Amino acid sequence: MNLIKLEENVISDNIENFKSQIDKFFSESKFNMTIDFSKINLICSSGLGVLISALKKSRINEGDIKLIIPESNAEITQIFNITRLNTVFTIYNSQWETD
Amino acid sequence: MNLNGKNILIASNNLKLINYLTGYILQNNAIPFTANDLNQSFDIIKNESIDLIISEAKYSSERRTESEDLLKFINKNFLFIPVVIILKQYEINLIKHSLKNGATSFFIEPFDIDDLISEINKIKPIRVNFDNRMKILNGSSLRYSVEINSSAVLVGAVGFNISEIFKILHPEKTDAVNSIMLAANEIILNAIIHGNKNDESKKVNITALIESNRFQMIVTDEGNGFDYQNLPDPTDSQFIFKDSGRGIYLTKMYFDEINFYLGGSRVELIKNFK
Repeated sequence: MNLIKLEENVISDNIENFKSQIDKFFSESKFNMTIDFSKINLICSSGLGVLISALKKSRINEGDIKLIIPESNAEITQIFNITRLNTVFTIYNSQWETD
Repeated sequence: MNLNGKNILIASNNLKLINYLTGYILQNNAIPFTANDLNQSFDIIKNESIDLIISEAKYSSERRTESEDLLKFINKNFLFIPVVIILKQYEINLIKHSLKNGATSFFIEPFDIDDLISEINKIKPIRVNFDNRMKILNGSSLRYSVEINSSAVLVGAVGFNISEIFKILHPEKTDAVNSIMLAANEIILNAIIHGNKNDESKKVNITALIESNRFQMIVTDEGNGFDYQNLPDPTDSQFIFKDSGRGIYLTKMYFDEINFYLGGSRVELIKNFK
């Protein structure tokens, strides 16, 4: 599985790092990937922007981006609910659900 | 920056480079400090008043260099010490990364020391107005204010700085730190990009008032404001796939109040605590 496990909140200087992890898969023509938000509790609007443009790129190439957001992660869950991005991404509760 | 009397840190373990630079620094009545690794660099920066850093871009892992970590440390702690990067060879990504993280300039070995010195002479050392950054008001509230140039690399540092001060008064409110970091990333960044149109000579003023039951932050830019009453709804199906336009929307989620003044070039955020 092409998995990106986020270790640090996606804000300011970490956004570039987040983007380069996604771009690395794209450069290897891997358009299906899973991004794990379990360990973080904040993503800013620029980070969401990176995620949306990656989703568009992957779907054009017949891939998809799936997200792992445990229900217990209230902060990230709320960010996706309030922006309604929970309606455009497939979201899983844990890694084993994605298999 | 005139070298005379300045404290200069050389972060490198290349003995040839160190000898070359220290000799020249001493000749110019400046004081050289040398650090072999990142931890030594951090110690020297914390304990000495360093005016300039000359750092070798040495890889500490596959993706990161020590000079990059050094730049992040400096940005994060709001130190604004100019950093000149020395590269062993021309590597465009490394140069791009260094400059993005706030490096002042870079040199590729072998370089002429006179070119380095003339570059150092051009450096204007202070990028931030440090006066009265933090004020303690009647023992239970803190006011912090800072004026920065319109440079996106400073945004994280301001957020981090305000968070650290916030923790002094509210060590138990760990969740509010996210609100502050987010506000910095959305509102200050908007002021830089949309307000001041990335014009580095224009300033953004940030004032935070931290009280026992309330947090207030005011961000003012030099732009012409924006139509804050007609912001498109980013959750509308017509905009949901747009990769921008969620900043203010997201900030509203973290604050009790968001108010616009001066046509939108001043934004006030308020968060109340129980």
